[in-house]
Amino acid sequence: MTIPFILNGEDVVAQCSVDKRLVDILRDNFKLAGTRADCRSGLCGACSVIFNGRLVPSCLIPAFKVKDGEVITIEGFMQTLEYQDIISGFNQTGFRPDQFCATSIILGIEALLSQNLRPEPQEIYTAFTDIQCRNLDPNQLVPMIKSISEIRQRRLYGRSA
Amino acid sequence: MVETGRSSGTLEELILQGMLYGHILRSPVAAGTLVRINTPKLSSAYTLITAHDIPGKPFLDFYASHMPILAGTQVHYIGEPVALLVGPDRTKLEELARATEIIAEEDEALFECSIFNSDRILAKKTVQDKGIDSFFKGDAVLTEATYSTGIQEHWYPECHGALASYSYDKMLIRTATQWPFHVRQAVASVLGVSVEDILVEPTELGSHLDGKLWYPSLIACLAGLATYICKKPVKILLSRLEDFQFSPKRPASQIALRTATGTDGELIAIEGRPIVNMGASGPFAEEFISRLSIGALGAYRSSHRRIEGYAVQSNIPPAGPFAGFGFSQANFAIESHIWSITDRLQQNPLEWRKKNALCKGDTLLQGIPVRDPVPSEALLDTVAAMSDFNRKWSSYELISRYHRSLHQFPLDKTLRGIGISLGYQGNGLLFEGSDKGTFGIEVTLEKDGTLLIKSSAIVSDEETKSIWATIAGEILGISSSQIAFAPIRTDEVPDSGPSCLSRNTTIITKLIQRACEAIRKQRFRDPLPITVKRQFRPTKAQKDGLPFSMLSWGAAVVEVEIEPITLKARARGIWLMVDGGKILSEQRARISINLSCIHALQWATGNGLSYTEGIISPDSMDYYSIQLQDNPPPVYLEFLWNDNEQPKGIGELPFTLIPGAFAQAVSQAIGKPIRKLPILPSDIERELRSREEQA
Amino acid sequence: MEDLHNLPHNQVFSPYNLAELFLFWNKFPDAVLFSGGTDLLRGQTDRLFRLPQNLISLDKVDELKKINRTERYLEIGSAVCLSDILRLGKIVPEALVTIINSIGNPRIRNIATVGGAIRSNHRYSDLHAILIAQDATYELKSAADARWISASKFVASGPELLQEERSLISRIRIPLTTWTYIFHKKIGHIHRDDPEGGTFLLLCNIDKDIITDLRMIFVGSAIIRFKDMETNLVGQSIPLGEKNIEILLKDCLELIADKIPDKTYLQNTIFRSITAALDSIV
Repeated sequence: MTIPFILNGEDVVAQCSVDKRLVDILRDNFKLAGTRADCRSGLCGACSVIFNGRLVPSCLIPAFKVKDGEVITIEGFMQTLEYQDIISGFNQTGFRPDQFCATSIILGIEALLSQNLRPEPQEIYTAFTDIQCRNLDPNQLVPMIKSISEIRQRRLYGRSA
Repeated sequence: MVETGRSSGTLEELILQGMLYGHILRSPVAAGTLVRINTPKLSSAYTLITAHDIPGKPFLDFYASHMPILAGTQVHYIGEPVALLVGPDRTKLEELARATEIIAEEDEALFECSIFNSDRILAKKTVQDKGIDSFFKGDAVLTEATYSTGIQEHWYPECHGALASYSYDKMLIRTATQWPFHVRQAVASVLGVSVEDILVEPTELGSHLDGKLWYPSLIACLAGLATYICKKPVKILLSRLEDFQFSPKRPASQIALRTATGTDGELIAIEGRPIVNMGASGPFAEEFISRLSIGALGAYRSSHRRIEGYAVQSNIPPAGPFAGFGFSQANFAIESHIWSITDRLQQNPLEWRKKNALCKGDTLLQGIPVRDPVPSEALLDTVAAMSDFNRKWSSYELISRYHRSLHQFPLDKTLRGIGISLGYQGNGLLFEGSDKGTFGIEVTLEKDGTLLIKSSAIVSDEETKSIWATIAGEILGISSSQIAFAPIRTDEVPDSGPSCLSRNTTIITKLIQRACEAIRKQRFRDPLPITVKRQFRPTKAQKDGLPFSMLSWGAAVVEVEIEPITLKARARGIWLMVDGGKILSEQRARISINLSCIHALQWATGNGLSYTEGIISPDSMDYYSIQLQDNPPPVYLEFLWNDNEQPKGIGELPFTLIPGAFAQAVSQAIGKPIRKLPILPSDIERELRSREEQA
Repeated sequence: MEDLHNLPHNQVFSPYNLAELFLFWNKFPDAVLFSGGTDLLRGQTDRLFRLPQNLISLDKVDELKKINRTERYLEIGSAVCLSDILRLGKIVPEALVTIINSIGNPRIRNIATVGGAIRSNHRYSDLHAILIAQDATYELKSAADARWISASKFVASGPELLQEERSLISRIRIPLTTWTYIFHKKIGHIHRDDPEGGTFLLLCNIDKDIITDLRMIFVGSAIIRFKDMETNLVGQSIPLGEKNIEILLKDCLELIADKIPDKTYLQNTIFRSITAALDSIV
């Protein structure tokens, strides 16, 4: 099947069978290693991508669904100012995601803050449900995301709440 | 700090030209005889490799057992590798594997270890005390119970795997491992070649929780065998489900304890029978049973001790270490047992612990001396103050006893409890044969004034190297930017032994220190470059089985509430006081301990993962989470600062301390002893109902 | 329009509207409808999905993605993602929000659809609890016909009807009843459809200390509607009389044991949920 879609802002075409997973299309066809194929069940977060504006597990997206859609992987997201906010927040709070979990955590933060720039602690815990990362201390999440939120608010509005 | 070359990155990222993939075919039966493997017709691009193709020794050697690389005729557990399919396309391999029929004649399999015959004993630990029985009579207060713990899954950031390829005339193995030289030895042995012909280059390890100590060697042997036969690079990378079902888990254990205490609470005698289920060919069985046996006595003094411990074989996948070798399981048992003692005697558990804690000069099992002062009172008193333990314990105790008097606990109200534990982490050696040798590091001060440190020690974070660089820099008066670590490859660095049991913090740090001090002495006397090698030589006592080079100490308090209706127990707060000697990096220590607390809690409260008829059901993965289901409790951590001491490993302490304290808190809340981990709501309900029925 | 005469290994049809959908479906009656796919793809961990020979993707059928709101109803197309329902904000009944937030994780909720959840082949989705309790109705559309069926009737006979008539759920209509009191308890794993767990829901309206409406339901491996309790309690004044409650609770326990045998913890937890829910109606 020929699958045209937008990948990290560029028009691309993938040639693959309809039953191939999006995560494998990204890794095999486009050599984008930032999205990892781990549990293949949508339960660990390692394969997170932004698909048609939403954070999804790319391991559960078959090729035919990708047609004419838009995919942003961590590689694409790293070119954005939003990514810089997140990295600044990490540096400020001393949080260092390991390279295995970085994608799921960074895109998870982006998905949360793009919905709600000032999330409550409970929303933060809910957003990080099923991120299977041994280096993620949930107690670090709230101060870290608060810090990123403030950085982003200052960038967007010149001030934080 | 400068790296002189890149590490291999992650195994998943590594793609070599012409690389093939390996797919493990596995036994469908837990015990039996392999009859036949029927694959569909294979094109020339695909190869089936069996045990008959192994040119060298067909097994991994451990002290008490050996483990087949590929099952020959006998199979010992569901999932045991029986063959390897190798080919260029992973999807095709999956298809071929699905279409392959593995025929085996099934024998009776044994999965449990509560009853076993001597054939199944992999290792035993016996410490006798002839006169001990007399102390279990008379006026002594006797407490007897059996404690059981379940398995735990590591969920590594990257599944087990290995990539083998030829690098000129040598075979290069890339794998995420805590023990590169073990991989080298294993692959050389399986291929029947010299160790010099095998190079091992570790890839990014991530958080391993001790699960990548020996299993990578098995996968590396399979990859190496495939490359040897196919003459092409071969990568084997387990799927998450495969890893989840078949890689080693923290083993299940059962520990029977019997204690005699005086009416004043003094621990007079303790008898333990720990049993650990090591699965098939369980490596490091000796290590496990030794630590389980030592740990079963806890951090407490008693004049009379008897232990009869067994590491038992069964027809489940081989078990492995998980943040240690059984200490956590044992400490859960003794700490929960103490609840029963203090509950009976109606004594404050804090005071009981202070009264009975080990001191300098006491001995652990088998006369292992406690050489250094034990800060038990400082640890216990401080953690109690931090958590307001005494006030809370008294309140919760009052409420609990009131409910007990009515023989009914209100299940529509939140029940609360608080528990306290004291324990230690033994840093040291594996005393299976392969680790009794010497191992070391090499440090060179170059002509240009840079320092190169060579060691095969694997670190899971860059901060450890920063610490070593700082120590080296301070000794030699050079800046960190002039200090480099040689990339780890077995032909370029010396064997520094396995990276486990906090050896990086304790032994390797010391070796670097000593090497730099020696260079300092020589540097203005001898021409550069100056190379110094330093080795760790086990003492006679260590060679004879002393498992610890030093002890780090901790105390913890866990406050629990039991949700009405569902009866789920959740931690309201965790307080920890740690004596880790000199803390090299407070930030790193805090991060490490905080993470371990969450993992320890997950073990105590999480889904009850288990083998059913010899296999972990694939559906279990859907319900398994390494994160807590509830919001995390706050963790309050303080250190007993002691810069005069050596740095000690502390990462295992949460596993040692928290489950026991958690269980005690639940026991207080429901007025009944909790004797198993994980603690599920159904277990709490059962205990509460049994109380009502007894009434 | 897809070339119907070109037959690759799998065929995926992507109709733009329901008329096209039924056209394909008539030609390929074995075709499976595919929306979020979380149910169909569940448990598959191989590199390639094992897909049915013929698939009809609902991605482009706009009629199935509409959301309408009136004063009395919220109408959601069956291909609307669970997370999109949450994004509607305060108009979404509180209990529905709570229950959706307990299904899977945020990433899965961005692909799982409400229609897919209702039709799940695994344990009954927790969504049934709120949909049944709130008297939701589902529009079943076939090529020739469209009719509405209540959520409670659907669990009894809906799947068979869909198969017989070759119809699909096109819309879900949820009455926007407000409730004086809502009690919800998730039992078992809080983010999964745990076979050993489920969801208990009680919705209650009280006017001048009299219970005017009550819905009580458990959804898990079985669906238990506590009709007797509902009927008996409507019209009662609060606080509820102890003796009466005791008898009703005894009946509930029998009903639970009958519907979920051999799961003592679950039975008891449902019972405790009922007791707690009733105790707190004050």
